[in-house]
Amino acid sequence: MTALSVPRPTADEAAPFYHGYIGKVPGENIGEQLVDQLAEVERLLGALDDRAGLARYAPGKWSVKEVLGHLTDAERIFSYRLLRIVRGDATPLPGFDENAYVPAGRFDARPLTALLADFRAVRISTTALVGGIPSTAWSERGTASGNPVSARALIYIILGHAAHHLGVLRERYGVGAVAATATSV
Amino acid sequence: MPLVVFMRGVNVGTAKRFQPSLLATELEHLGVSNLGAAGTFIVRGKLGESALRAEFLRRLPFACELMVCPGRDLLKLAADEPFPESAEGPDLRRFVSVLARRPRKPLALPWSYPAGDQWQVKLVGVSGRFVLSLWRRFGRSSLEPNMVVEKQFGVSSTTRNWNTILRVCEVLQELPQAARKVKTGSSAGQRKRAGIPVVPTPRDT
Repeated sequence: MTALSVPRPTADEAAPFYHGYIGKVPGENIGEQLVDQLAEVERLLGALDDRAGLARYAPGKWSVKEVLGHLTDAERIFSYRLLRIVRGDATPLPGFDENAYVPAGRFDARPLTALLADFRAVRISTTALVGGIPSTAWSERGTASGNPVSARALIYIILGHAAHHLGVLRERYGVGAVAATATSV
Repeated sequence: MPLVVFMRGVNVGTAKRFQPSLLATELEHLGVSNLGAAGTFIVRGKLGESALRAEFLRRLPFACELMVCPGRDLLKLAADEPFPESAEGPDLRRFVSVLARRPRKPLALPWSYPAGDQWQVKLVGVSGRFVLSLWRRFGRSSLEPNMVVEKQFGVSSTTRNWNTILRVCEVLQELPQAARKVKTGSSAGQRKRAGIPVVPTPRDT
């Protein structure tokens, strides 16, 4: 499954805002990247304790736990969209309000290990879904949040969206540095 | 299309402090939600800009400039991917300043302050009312990009990190099509504790 390659989507296969996320995905080896990115999330965040998981880089920003919870929520929704679209279901799919989902998820009250296990479960589910998609179905298109989107654009958005937030965790929260310190002693 | 409201100069230092989340709750009947503590709000309701400004300002205990722009302008800015991917790190950050109005005269870009190799703020792009800049940590000095932008363009502005703009865009991109359920506002006690004056509203009377 890790050898799965999916051709890159063209510009008209996702809303323009998502092109930035798609651009964060190098190459077309989607199966490998899904597995590697899960390992990266576990390496970066698995080294943190619950107290570090509550860290925010500025007042009002999401905590590390909330970022992880958002990643899990978003991947659940994106992969659900992917399922419907690859099955040929053209029903327009609604958007979601991440700004409301994060506080509703009460991620800060949950152990970081539980949030990591949740993300892992979702990523394994996404990987299994992707592994079973017939090659002809990747070009299927649907509508999500009022915009046309293709199946293959969705899997690139899943990876690129996570890559974006992992970058913010490293650069603004210093998560990689904390992990490096924790593992070097 | 939703509007995005940026407050200028709030929750910086000890002046003009308030809780944006409580103000957003106060304005929830207008479809207002907030992001972060710097005074950034997304407005889903179909209220005109001047009426929206009035709704915000009458609930604040201090005078404040508001930069209001259509969400589609921010989505377009983000879709253009105006910053190079490498332009972010612990000592190098990307910012977007929202001007109160379009600049009158063009500026030759890039423009750095201070000039030369030891620049701390570099203006790298202008798109409508948005000014893109890079901020660099240099020694102990901490120069604010907003101060540089305002001085250079002669227009008041407010500045946010590029990641904040992307988060606003994530919300805008995924806004549910259906109208958001309206909840009741916060209590007068909550507003008072947040530093928001208790102004009689139709719900209070």
